[in-house]
Amino acid sequence: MIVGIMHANWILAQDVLPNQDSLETLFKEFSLLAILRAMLAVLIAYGLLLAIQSATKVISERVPRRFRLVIKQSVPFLKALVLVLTMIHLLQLFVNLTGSNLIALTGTIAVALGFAFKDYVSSIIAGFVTLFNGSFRMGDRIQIGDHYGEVVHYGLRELRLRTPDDNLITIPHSVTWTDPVANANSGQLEAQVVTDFYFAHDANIEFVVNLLYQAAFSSRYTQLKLPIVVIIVEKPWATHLTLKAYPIDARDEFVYKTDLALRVKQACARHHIPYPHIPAQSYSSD
Amino acid sequence: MVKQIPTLLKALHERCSPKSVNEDVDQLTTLPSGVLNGLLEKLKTLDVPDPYLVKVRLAAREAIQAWQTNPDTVSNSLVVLSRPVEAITPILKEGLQDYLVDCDVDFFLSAYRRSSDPLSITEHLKQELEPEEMPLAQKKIAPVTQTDIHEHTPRVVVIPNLEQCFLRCIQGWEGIEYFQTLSTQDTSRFWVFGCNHWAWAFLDKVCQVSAYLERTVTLPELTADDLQSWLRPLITAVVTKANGEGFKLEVKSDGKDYWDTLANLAFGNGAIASHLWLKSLRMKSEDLTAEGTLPTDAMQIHLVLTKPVLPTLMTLEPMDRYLLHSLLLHGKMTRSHLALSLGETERAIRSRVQVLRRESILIQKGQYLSVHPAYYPKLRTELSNNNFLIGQA
Repeated sequence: MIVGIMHANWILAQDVLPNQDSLETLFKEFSLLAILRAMLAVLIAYGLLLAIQSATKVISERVPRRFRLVIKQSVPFLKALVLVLTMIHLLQLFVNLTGSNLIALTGTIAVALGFAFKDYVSSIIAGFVTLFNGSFRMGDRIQIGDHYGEVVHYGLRELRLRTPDDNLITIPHSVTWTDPVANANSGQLEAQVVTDFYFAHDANIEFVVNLLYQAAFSSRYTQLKLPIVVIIVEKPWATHLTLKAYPIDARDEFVYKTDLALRVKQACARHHIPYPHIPAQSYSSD
Repeated sequence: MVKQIPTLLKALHERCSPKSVNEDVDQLTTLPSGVLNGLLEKLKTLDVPDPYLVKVRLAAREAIQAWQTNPDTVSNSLVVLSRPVEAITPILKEGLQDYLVDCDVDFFLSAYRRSSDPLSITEHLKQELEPEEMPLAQKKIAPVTQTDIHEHTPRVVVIPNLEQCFLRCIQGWEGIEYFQTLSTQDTSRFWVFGCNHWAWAFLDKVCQVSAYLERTVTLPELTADDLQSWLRPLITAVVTKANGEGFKLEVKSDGKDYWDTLANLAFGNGAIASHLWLKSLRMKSEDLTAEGTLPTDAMQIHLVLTKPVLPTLMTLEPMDRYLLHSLLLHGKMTRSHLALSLGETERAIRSRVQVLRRESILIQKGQYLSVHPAYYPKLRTELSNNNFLIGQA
């Protein structure tokens, strides 16, 4: 049985891998002009990729917010277009693109890359699939594994996240195939921000809930077109209130949280709302 | 065909460049500050545009009649909505004061500016509105019936600046909630409120104001003809100089295209249009001295209208947008209130206020800041594109 399978693979490899005769017709004659044209094409493609990257970065940060994500989301597609066109041009320069040649060439490349650059190719394919799959796009705020941040770069092999601490995290596209991706805004400008507050059990919670709503309504960052919700959960040591609201720009997530906390704390101080007194034991257990 | 290209280019250039509507113009220059200030003063004395008065009067009459006919079910309030840069108080005063002769019309809070402590706004409003009234709880509310109509004169309470009765901060719109309660409980009076669209959109989100004050009317857009007839008194105005002497201004007549463009750019709004009109005025350089001032013996000045254009808006920083949005929401406000509405300290916003003032986007009169009406069309687009909650154009 095993011998039979090995024999079948050997026959398949003989069919796919080009022999000496087919190599002569597979590749065109290498001339100096063709090499120069190929180098020029690579240079132009490189220049275009750099131009797309920098131009879209500058433009997207200058236009109104509404158009920022649209411009950012176009970057991977533009880059992919440049790469595909360059590849086609290079193939036309050096390869006789007939049907049988294409099969031979792709078979050879598949076998070679399958062994040597498995992870690299996997990442590139994952990058292409994600591009059209739409689980996240440039400018989205996503969490992959332990890493959370804004997608600021979408390369051939990897994506980069800018974390709230301004670190750049590089993640291969293949990780997005195996790990769950949590997307906070899915191509929208707004992303829900959850802010936690804790109050003593004897606090007037009805009044505090109203304060929380008003804090969200009055913050300059709040997107009032989207819902605002306050959720109460009782803990043994405090009443836990969760304020869920949307800033008008997901990028303002942390300053928004700060603004909400500041407003609520000022109002609570004005109305002498009691905070929980947590025993030292609870601190250590938390 | 090739020979026609220069002619076409010239025509295109003439169409695109801000040029005089009149053809006999040599070299034009902007107006000296004395003339400009004189015209600004004259602008303030203009009557309210007739279409505004007609609309407000008609809406008020209809609303009051509907309320008198069926006071138990029909709303006893009317909200007149305007753009944030339009002064609504004179419109309501001129529109209702002498028009509703069969009603007792009381104007409250016409010149009201929100108190320094925004948490005391409600107390201020109560003091203004209720000294002559019994406390709400003790007051005997007499419903208006058909019989009452013949015996009693209906009372109309006008509050022209609803946006001055709140501030965007925690507990900052309790004054509006007070009005909501008062107007729905006190059905013996008819209430007319003035408010800007942006404040209305905000208040509707935070305290569902339209559920209580359900009847609204929006000021109409002025047509080219409306604007021309409204600004006509300024076309031959007499302006007084600083030394007390007067001189006569004469603006050369202009085509319909000019007024159509003006109406389009200004969204048919009087305040915006009047400022764009002012900005489109030019003088012949030969009428000025070498220093660019008016000759001392000038008795009559000829002004020329150039194509109206919206002023260029500088590149705004994120803080500028928040700041301008807050000002358009609240109308005139002090620097401390502006800071409070943004959740910042006065010190944090001082530099941006200064920059916006220097760019003439903000106007400061006394301690009150407001947005220059000529910048409103571009600001509205800018804020809308940046995902802000805005009101009607």
